[in-house]
Amino acid sequence: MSGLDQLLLDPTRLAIVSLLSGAKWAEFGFVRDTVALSDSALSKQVTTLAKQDYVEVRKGYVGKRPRTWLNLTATGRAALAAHAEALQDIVASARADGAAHRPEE
Amino acid sequence: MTRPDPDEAAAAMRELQRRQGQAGRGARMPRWLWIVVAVLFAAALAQRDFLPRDVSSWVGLALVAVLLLLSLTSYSRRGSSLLGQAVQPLRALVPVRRRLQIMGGMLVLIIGFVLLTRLDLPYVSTAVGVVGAVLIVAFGPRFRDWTLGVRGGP
Repeated sequence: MSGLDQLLLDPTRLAIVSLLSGAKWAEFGFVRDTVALSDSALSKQVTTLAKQDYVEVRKGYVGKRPRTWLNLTATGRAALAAHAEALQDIVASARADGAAHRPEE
Repeated sequence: MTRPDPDEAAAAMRELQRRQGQAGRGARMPRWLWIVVAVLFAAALAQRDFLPRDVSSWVGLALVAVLLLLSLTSYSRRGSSLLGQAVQPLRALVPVRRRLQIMGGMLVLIIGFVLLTRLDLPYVSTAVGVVGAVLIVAFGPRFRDWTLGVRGGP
């Protein structure tokens, strides 16, 4: 299974990356609340993903309030697409095996 | 490398789709913004019936400029946050066919409006503005969900 990504086999990281794949930029707070993580837990996961160049982090201000935005990079999107395809293949081959071994009525 | 079994793989696929849907819902515009857009739209049209022509064209231009500015603001990261959107939508995901449908629909609406104003009916711009504003508030959020491919959920 060449497309499977070890990093994305972790359900929390898959949730973060999947969430970011539907957005151009998402606020850190939105990702934290949606994936139900603490600030520190999300920071840790984001650091891991950023080290692999899957996620880009930008910090800034909106008015006087500090904000952090997250973006899934092209590398991250490609890894997720390959991972999703590999998952799909696992499901499809299991279905095909099931159909082949189904007893005839 | 650990290989997920078929049930785990299917669950991961479902999770992926669910999370993408959540991102789309995070990109929804807040209600107040729809109301502001609707009021500006109604005002931009209604002022044509009430102001002298030389003043009206400038006021109309200014209101359209504000509407454009609001629209452009949502294209930036900070702007989206400022407008209350936690997620900046990925517009590249909008299929070309849907973009063409939207542009075609807009063209039909503009031509319809121009033809209506040619009929020289009293307060036709105001009527179109009010009806448009009601439609924006009532159906704008659902229309935007459709354009961005966002499905269901609060």
